[in-house]
Amino acid sequence: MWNKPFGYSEYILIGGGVTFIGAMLQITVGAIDWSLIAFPANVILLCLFVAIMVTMHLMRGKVYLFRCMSESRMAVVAIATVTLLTFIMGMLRQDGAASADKFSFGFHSMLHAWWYVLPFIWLTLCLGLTALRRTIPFHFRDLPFMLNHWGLFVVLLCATLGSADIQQLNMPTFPGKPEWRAVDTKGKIHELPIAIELQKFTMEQYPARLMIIDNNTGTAQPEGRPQTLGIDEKLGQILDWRIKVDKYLEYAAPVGINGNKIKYVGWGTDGATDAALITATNVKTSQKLQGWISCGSYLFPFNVMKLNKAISLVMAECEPKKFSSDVKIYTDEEKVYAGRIEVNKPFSVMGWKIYQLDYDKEKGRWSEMSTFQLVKDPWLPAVYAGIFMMLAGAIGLFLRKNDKKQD
Amino acid sequence: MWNYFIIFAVVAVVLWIIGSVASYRQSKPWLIYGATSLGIAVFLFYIILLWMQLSRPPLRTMGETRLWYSLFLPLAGMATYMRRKYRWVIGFGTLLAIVFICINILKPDIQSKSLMPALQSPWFAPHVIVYMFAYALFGVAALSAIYIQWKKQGDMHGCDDLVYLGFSFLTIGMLFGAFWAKEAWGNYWAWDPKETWAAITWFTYLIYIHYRQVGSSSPRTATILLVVAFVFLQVCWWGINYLPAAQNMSMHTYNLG
Ligand code: HEM
Repeated sequence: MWNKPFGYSEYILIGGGVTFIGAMLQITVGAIDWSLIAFPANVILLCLFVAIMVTMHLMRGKVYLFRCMSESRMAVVAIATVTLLTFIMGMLRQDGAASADKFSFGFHSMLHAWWYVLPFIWLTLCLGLTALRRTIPFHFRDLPFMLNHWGLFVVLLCATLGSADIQQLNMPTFPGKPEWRAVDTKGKIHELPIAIELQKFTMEQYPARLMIIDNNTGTAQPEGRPQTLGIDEKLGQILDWRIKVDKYLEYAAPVGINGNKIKYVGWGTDGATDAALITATNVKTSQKLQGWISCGSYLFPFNVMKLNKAISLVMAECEPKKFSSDVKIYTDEEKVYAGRIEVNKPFSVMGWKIYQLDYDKEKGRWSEMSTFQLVKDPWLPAVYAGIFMMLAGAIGLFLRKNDKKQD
Repeated sequence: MWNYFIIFAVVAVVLWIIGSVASYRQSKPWLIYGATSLGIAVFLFYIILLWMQLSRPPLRTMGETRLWYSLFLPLAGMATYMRRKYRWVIGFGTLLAIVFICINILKPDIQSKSLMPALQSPWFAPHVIVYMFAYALFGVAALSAIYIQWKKQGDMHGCDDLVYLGFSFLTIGMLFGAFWAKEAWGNYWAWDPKETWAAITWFTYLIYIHYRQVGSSSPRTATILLVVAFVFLQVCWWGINYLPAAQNMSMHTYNLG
């Protein structure tokens, strides 16, 4: 043991040792509170980390351990340690910061556990030392190597240190009422330098779908492999029933609810529901039924068509296809922007990204409320720089000629 | 469209089998490449038809991703054959493709045109297609490594090629996923169960790459690494739906169809 040069056993002891130190820290210091490294602490830590790394690099001739840290075997063990710990994380339920109880060992909040984070720091240090060794002196042929290794180094370091500076807030808005306050995940209210005024929330829906359910259990038929019929398909068959759509109203209201026959008519304002006039024919008995069905809205109840004692034809609730909010955004620099925010299309202003998050689910497409998520991540450009280096490195890997000789 | 799947699948599989047998017997190159490519073209044609019928990329359900996987496996096999001339490698790709085609015939996913808003993104298709291609390469790599160890012939360099290629695609797929997550949810990485398993898989292939850098690496250990990594990859792809730790936790559950 500990004969030079080190073999896998020594490296494994080093990797295990780092994890063990992490476990000791967890027991004595407690879970990591990431908010403690918010700016400027994270910038100081970054400088410190780089300074230590460069010093280790310069002393690699004198200190054997520092030299080892940029060896392939150390890389294998460091990555394997992190993989093993991440595997544990993948097997156990993670509850996030909520369960990061200061005195728990952290199995269910591993992102706050020293014994998970310390091996990552070790990995990053080994990675940085490796990248440094292969960057000085500079050889052009090592470029893919540098892009891969420096890229990952930048991503790991900046994503971790920057996480404390990420602000993520939710802001519910109502039409015509500019809102400049938003709440964070802990429920604290923040006043922002921007205000959002909801002009209009709009939702497009997919055409309604029809299905047959069991009258007693409510499960879709045939059980286990339910079949549905898109209303835009006009004609189709489920079980023994041939179903024909005679009329489809996307915006409708029921009339004559008190009679035994409900009828729907076109109706274009708040609360309108989808409704369809259906003819269902049993292919075995030739029994023929006609009636209206509807999925209902917050204003009107749904309406099913009873086919027989056991089963009914129903209209499933329409799935949203697209929802978006037209907004006006005011800044404290007295600028006004108008724009549309939708899922996958956030709006960027003054370092904030504004996402379409939610709406009044109860009211669906008639929602008068729209919730936005506002995210500010000052370290994002650095992380993206790392990601782009990794992308370029991946292309390098793709083009690489495997020139190694026989095993 | 799904009802016609079996016709296209059978034609493609027959062509791939012709290609596999031809390469095993070391017949004329035109027969090997011709039959295999034609099979790939037939299969791709089916995917394009399905795409048009659904009016969205067929990438949402498990069954749909299995289609792409079955498409890329013979392609990965053929690419490896071009480079390394392993006689059995197209056959392996075909074999694995047949397994996934059979799953699709026995358990087709319910098709619906709807695509939830979070999935309507220009990143959707590249992210999943690139991932599926990486998965196919890793599938062929794992089978090849097992074959080499079992037959005690050949060396692992073909596997290294496949892993380098697969890993570059895996990395690109993962990073595209990060860009997409940032646009859709506001954070590029959230350690959601699916993301955690993607990280585990990515790290395990990274171990393989670095392990193979060490002069004295044992081919046996390397093979075990490839098999373990491939198992992790399956967990990440569909096994996650059965993991108790991930039940109702992942936001990436659209794969269930
Ligand atoms: C994006 C992730 C990574 C990729 C794609 C990658 C890829 C590679 C490749 C292809 C090599 C072969 C060397 C060459 O090209 O000449 C290599 C070597 C190496 N890598 Fe990585 N690697 C990654 C991450 C890491 C990490 C996390 C570590 C350390 C903890 C590491 C440490 C090493 C070491 C020590 C070598 C040997 C270099 C030498 O002996 O000069 N790598 N890596």
